[in-house]
Amino acid sequence: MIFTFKRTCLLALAITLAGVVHLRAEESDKANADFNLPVVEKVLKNGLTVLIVERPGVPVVSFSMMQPVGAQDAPKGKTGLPHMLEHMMFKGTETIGTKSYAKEKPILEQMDKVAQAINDENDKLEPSAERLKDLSDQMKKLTEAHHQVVVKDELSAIYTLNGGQSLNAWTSQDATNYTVTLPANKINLYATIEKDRLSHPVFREFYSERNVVAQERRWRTESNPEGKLSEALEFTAFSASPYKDPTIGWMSDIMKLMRPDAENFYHQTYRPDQGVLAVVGGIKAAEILPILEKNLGEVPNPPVAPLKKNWSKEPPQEGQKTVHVYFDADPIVMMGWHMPNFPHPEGLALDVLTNILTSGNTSRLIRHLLYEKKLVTSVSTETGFPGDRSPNLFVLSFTPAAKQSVDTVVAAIDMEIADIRKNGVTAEELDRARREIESSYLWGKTSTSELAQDLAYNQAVHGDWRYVTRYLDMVRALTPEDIQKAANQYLISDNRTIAYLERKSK
Amino acid sequence: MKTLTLKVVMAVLLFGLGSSGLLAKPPVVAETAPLDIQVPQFDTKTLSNGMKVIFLKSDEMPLVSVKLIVPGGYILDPDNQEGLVALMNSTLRNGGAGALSPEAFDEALENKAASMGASADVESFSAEFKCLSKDVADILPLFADMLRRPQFDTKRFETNKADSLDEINRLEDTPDSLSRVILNRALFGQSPYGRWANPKSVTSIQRNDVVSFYKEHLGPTGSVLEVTGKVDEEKLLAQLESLLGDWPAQKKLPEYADAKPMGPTIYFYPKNVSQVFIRYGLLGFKRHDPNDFSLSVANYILGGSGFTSRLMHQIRSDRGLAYFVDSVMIPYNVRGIFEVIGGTRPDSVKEYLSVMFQVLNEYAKTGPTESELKQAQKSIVEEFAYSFESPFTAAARNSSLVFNHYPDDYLQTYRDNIKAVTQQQATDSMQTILAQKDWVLVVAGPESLEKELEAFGTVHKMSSIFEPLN
Repeated sequence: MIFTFKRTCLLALAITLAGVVHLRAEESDKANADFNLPVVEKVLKNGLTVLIVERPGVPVVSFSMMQPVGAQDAPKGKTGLPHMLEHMMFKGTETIGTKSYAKEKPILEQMDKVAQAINDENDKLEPSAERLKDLSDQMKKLTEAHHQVVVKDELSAIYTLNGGQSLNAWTSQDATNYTVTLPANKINLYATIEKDRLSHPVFREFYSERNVVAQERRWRTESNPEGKLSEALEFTAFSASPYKDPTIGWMSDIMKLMRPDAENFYHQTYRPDQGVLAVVGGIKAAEILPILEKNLGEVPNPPVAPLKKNWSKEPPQEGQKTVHVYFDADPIVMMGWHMPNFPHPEGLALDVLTNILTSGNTSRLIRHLLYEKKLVTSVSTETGFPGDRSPNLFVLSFTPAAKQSVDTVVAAIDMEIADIRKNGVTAEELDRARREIESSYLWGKTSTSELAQDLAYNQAVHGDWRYVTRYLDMVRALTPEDIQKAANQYLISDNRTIAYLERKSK
Repeated sequence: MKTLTLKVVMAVLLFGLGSSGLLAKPPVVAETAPLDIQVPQFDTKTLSNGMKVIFLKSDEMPLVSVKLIVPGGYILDPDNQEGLVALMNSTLRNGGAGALSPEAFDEALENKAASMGASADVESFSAEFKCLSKDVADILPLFADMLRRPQFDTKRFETNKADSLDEINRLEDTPDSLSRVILNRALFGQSPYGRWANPKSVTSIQRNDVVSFYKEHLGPTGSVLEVTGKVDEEKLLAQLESLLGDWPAQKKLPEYADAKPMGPTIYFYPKNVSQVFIRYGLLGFKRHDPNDFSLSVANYILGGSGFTSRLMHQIRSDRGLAYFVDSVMIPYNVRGIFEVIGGTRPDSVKEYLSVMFQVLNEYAKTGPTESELKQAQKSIVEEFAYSFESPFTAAARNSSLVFNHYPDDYLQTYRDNIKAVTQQQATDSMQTILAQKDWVLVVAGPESLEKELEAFGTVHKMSSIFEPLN
């Protein structure tokens, strides 16, 4: 299920409160009350961080269970394993999803052996077609035998039966998130099921799910112009950073992933003492904490040291890179500049610059390129691509208007960037961006699931949920000079990669 | 309300246990008391021109959302000017209003971090804004200006027209969007419900066409305005009366007959992609159909419930043939859409279609099992809480019900109506949908599929999504 590129969310996420630099004094107290975020924070005995926001009168409760483990943590040659693991977490436990785990276990182990033999044969210089056919027949028989003992999608069925909505998960480069929204009286159900899911997961149906993930890759990346283009931007812009590999994984890696790989990865990286559970809805913290402690607090940490995050660092880029992607579609262009990740102050400055450039009809690029010069039919910017935990990209995407050459548009964008580098942005523009950021923070708070996810994300990826509101403080303290300085440092052509999507000329 | 228990879950878990000697203990979940969901108190008022205003007050956040729904929508697109409705909406919002130029209008909104939009659906227009509570009295006049005194600025009109054309040209870029267009066109045939904007029709639209269309079709009759959030209701109502109370009635809408699909036919669009997109469509049901609850429950089981649905089980979980497969039912004022949507790799299209038809045929014959029905009813009843996640979600659900003339107690009786559906009703109602002979199948994928598809029916090969269908 369901991996997302996770960008919009990341942006929405970096949102917060306070310095009150621009607010007038008499307004500030009242405004602060509205921006206030009363979070009950508790670390369970196994180290799981629980964040709770009470919403009296709301009949639902949203959960976001996040692990700071993402695609960039995949072992070499096993890209996509963290995402595959996310799919497997829906396959049940030793008691959910099976008629008999005792009968099932040897079948699963037998399947692993056959899958390994298929991989080994395929790795040979001259694989034997006969041997592969034989192995594939063996796998079919085992799959049939397994059908007899499996109870399909039982974990999902339990949640669905209890009114679960948004039962889903996503994997990003940085983190993996599991969500569900339930009627507010289902805390016991959640805690019980999740305890079992985290303590005794069984990655059954691994090899058929691998095909599902391959379908997902074909649908999301290979048959989708934007998916293809953003993948190319990643692998071109990054040469050392783990962000160079796609979150969903390379097809050849996906098709060779093994169930034992997923088990090892799970036991090594999914740790209560690194995880976060955010709970938002019509519940009382004092009532639910004992239930969470009794269940989720009991999930053991693996008896190994946490995975040491030690990724290669991206060296400075020393000249503009370009990549051309051919696809049967109208042109799209994405360009990315390397930048420091949030909460680095310059990362923040560039993040706010995205509002000034492309948010709303009054923003610079929408006004100049779309309405005045009619060079594009859409233009957007974002930071934090493709992740937030390591230095990332400031990305500008556009679709040229009919009959406009891509080069003309790029030249116009260069002029806009040059103007910002030379003359900066106005205090008025910054003020408007700040108001927009504050307002979207308030609207975001109205959704229990969105708020739960924001809290969990900031805790898991940035190390502190308070960044949800601290972001607002930081934005209020930002000056036009900060933005100009960051633009001058990062938005330069030597630091840029341009990815073009175009039709192959015949 | 009837007590909802976890018995069914427990039974399933015990079944898992009973058949083996396991070491691990299954999770046991205590029963929960039924959740008492209070449908919020909506306060309905009427302006002097008859327009309904529904208030839902909530002081939790300093925010206000205002949304107007007007009868009409894409079905009103004039012949040979398909795309006019969409263009009217974008220029209504972007083209300036009252005394303000487009740029000044945008600034007035964005300086206050207010968002405003105008859009359309198949059978309605809508316009909305969101702002901070303290700004609502300033934003409301802008909203009224947009609705009543739009400028449709010529330059903005031209830009929006170019954007529309670009958007239409890009429809053929992904198998998802191109197959959506073909399915709608083929399923609704010559009916206005099957109209779709094309480059020629949009090119022919002039600013004057938009202005006269706007004058005829936007107005208070049958319209519903929803106001949600932290507001002074009395003050706001007075302001609404003065801004919109004398908005004159718009032209009466025509009545439409049910569509006649252009099937049974397979519409094949060759596209060199590694994931084939497949849509299977039939006419669905009409709003207020006496079987609407039965059909909703029956479709939930077939393909509307995600992982637990029959289609998902058979196609994804059992065979890994797709990343997603859903069935959706959308009612209109005429018979709407029933659609099965999925995708698979080129070499498994045949298997995907065989399994899909097998599931549909079996379901048409025997309908849901008693246990599927019970589980679906319990799920849907429990999911009801979700509509009330925030006052804004509750108001949105309510205003759409009021707009579409559902009874006043619809939300109050919803759960009982879902629970009252019988196995026979679910089976019979679904059978009437699935047994229709003039189905439409749309496949977008590599050229080589054409031959394979012939095994499933007559193939109509297309080279453009806009070409005539017969």
